[in-house]
Amino acid sequence: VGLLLPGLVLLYLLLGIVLMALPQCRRMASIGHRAPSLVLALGSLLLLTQIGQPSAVELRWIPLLEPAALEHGRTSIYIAVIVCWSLCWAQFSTPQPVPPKGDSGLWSGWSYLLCGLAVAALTVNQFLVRVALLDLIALAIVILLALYALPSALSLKALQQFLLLRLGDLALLLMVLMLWQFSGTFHIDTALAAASASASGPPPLLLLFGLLAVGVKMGMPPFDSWLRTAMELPRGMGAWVVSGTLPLLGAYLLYRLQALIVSSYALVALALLGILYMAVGVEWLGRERATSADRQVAWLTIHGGLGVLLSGTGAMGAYVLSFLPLRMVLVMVWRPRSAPASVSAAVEAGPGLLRQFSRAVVALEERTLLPALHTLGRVARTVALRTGRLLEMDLFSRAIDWAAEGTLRFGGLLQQAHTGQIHTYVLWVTVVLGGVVLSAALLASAGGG
Amino acid sequence: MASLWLVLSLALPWVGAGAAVLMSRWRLVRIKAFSLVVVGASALALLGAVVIGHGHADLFLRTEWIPSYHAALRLELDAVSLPFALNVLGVALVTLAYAWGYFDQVAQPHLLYALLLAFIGGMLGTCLFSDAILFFICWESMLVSSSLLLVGWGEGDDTRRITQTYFVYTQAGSLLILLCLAWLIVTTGTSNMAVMAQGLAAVTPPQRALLAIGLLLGFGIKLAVVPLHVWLPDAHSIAPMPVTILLAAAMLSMGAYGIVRFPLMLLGAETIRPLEPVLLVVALGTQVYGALMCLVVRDIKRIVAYSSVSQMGYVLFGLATLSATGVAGSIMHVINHGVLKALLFMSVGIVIRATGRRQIEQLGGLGTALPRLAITLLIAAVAMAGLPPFSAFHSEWMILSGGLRSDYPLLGYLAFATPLLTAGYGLWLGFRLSSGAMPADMGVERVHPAMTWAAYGLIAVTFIEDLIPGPLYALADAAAQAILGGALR
Repeated sequence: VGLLLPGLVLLYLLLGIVLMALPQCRRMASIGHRAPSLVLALGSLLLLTQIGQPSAVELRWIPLLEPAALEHGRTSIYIAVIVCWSLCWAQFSTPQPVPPKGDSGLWSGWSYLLCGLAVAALTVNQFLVRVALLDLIALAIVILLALYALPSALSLKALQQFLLLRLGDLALLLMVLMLWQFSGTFHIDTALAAASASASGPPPLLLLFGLLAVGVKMGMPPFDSWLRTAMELPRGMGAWVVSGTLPLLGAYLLYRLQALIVSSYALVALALLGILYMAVGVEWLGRERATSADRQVAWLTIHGGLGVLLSGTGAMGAYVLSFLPLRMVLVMVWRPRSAPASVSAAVEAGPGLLRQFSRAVVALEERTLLPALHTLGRVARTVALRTGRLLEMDLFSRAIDWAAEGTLRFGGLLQQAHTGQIHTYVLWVTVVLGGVVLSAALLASAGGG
Repeated sequence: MASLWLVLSLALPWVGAGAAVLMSRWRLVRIKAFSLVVVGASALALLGAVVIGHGHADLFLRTEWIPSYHAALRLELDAVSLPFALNVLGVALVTLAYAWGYFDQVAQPHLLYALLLAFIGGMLGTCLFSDAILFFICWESMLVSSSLLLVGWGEGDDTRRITQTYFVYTQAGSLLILLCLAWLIVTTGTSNMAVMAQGLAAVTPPQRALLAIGLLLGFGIKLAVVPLHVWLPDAHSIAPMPVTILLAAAMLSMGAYGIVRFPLMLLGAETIRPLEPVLLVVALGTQVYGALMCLVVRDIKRIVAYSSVSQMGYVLFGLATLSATGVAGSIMHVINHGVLKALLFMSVGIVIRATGRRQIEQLGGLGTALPRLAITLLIAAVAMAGLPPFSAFHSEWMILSGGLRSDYPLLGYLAFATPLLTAGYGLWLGFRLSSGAMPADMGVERVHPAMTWAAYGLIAVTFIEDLIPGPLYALADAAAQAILGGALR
């Protein structure tokens, strides 16, 4: 029974590889791609009976460190089940994801692979393995973006997204290594417990890098350009990437860091940051309500992110568990079959209860929402967008341009000097050294004689 | 028994080189097969020595050679020399497999292969001889054979001048090393590297520091540390691709071996400690400089050459942290760099051979024309950036962790910027070559399957090394403990 979780992960990974690798599987009818996701999602429900049970399989990937295992933690299993179901929803959502290059098996395989990696990343109990899994997920997402969202400008845009996600990966690695140094272990629970129990509290830099990693992975402004690009993916694919992969894992990472945050002054900063993001979200909703549903998905995602941040004050666990399925429903199930031109149309076409809820929200916003919140949101959004643009384009490009120019000049000077003066000097040094060595050898041999 | 295997491993490339000289009437394909068999047998012999010797230090041939300095023909395969020797033979083997397809028509093939075998033998001897004089002789034989390969079979118009530069620069380093070794031999009265440390009591701390600086400079030239790297991009870009691979993936690491063997192990970490901040800054500068140059140069072979400079910065950084984690990471990175740099050069070599072009502006659209090659290139770039599921992930986190554990953690934090740059230039190169439309005037020729299969083999190696990293960690851990004498933390 303890093999259920590793078996499930293995099945997802194997299915992904088979669907991608075998041409026959890539070409088979779409039901052949969809059905396994339903079977596996149903199987994942069995995981709920395993909560709290010990792991049956331990893997010593890196021999000098603690072995890693997939653990049946309450929250992680709950979210893992949601991930499995969200893939199922993505597979069965209509319209089907646009078959990339007429090869829908490729996308299906890729999504199964991503799902296996996400479930493993949620449940693994060793930090370094989690870092590796998150790296892989980020890489897989960038490849998806490069293949299907950015085909016309593959090189530059995909590279930007990759660098942004790599920034998050490196921040996470830095945090993990600092935690290792602090606690002497990579075991997630032990390391976090040691850090939070410390009298002096966790090092501020550790929290800073942890939150940077969370921000990038959740796609929060100003690190949201990859998330916005993911919105451009074919609908089911985009919804799956946004809902079931990195943003979710970022939220879970924040959830795991909660113990450190609560015991430190970062709590206040985060609460303030959360209010700002909330304001951005509200402002965004007002601005984008009449435009495409994809924009709305972006808003919902960011709202989720800032909601998690805000709820860091105490009710984090419950919130993490509640907002994700809700988002799934809103994004994937509730969406009408005939894709609406705007969100307003989608709201009107939706089920009655949600329509009323939605109207109530709109009424609340239009009539009673504090104007200050709007103003604050506009300012914060502008700042976030500008920072994002700076990070995404200007800062990277300019920094690299400046650095490259400087390096080129330095390299040119070196090269110039090397063909001129330095070359002569080195030649002379060689001759002189040769003479010294020869004389020393002669003297030594004369002494020996 | 293990000694016999060890002697066989070292002797085979040298004997093979001698035999190849006499093969002037042989057909090229037979010379290729002969060289491949010789290096394969040498690698097997080395593995035989490891298996039979169970990793114990194994001395061989105590025959007195220069009695006044107790110089003897002495071979030793210890925890430090083993990873370097494995890297040399592994890279050599896969390079000769690649060369099977690369050298389809070549002048004086018997001499070319004789020099290649001598080059490989020189590097192997440098790792295996535990006598300082023999170490230096092998060190010099590397330089001579590689210089002859450059001047004889170099590609381009400026081979003589570039070879002269290569020779002069590396010879300057060699002479510095020789001066320091001579000083050590005269002071300690022995050239036996194992016994030398006992005679170091007579050397005062300032003298030790001077020796350390001299040796670091000498080996730093071979390691291509900025600003002593000027010979590297030119030499790498004119050499025929198999020679470039040997230079980048195997020979550069000999500089790291020298630093480990002499300043770190012989003079001791405490001698180096005052130099630690300088070394860390130089290493960091080397990483960043190499990476930035990759973003500005336009010749794809030079881009990969500069990435070697950057990667050697990693190796030096790990060593300079003087922490067991950092040092172990560096040893591991030597092996990973060997595999990945060979892969990257092979991919770029295939591009150059298939298209006849080297300037990045004139290339593109390979994803459509040569999809497998494009995937190989992208894998090489991603792997070089230290991402799983490829082996550099392991060495990278260890080196970065070593930086945080050093006495200068701020420099450790700064080092985290380099993987970002590595990802930037690697992916930029991969995407730039793979994506977009193929230039209208660009033709694509078929390349020999040996070249592509050699690259696929390396992808498999780096993938397996990541999934089953146990042996790699065991090698690095044993080496780090031998170097610093501490546990891996």
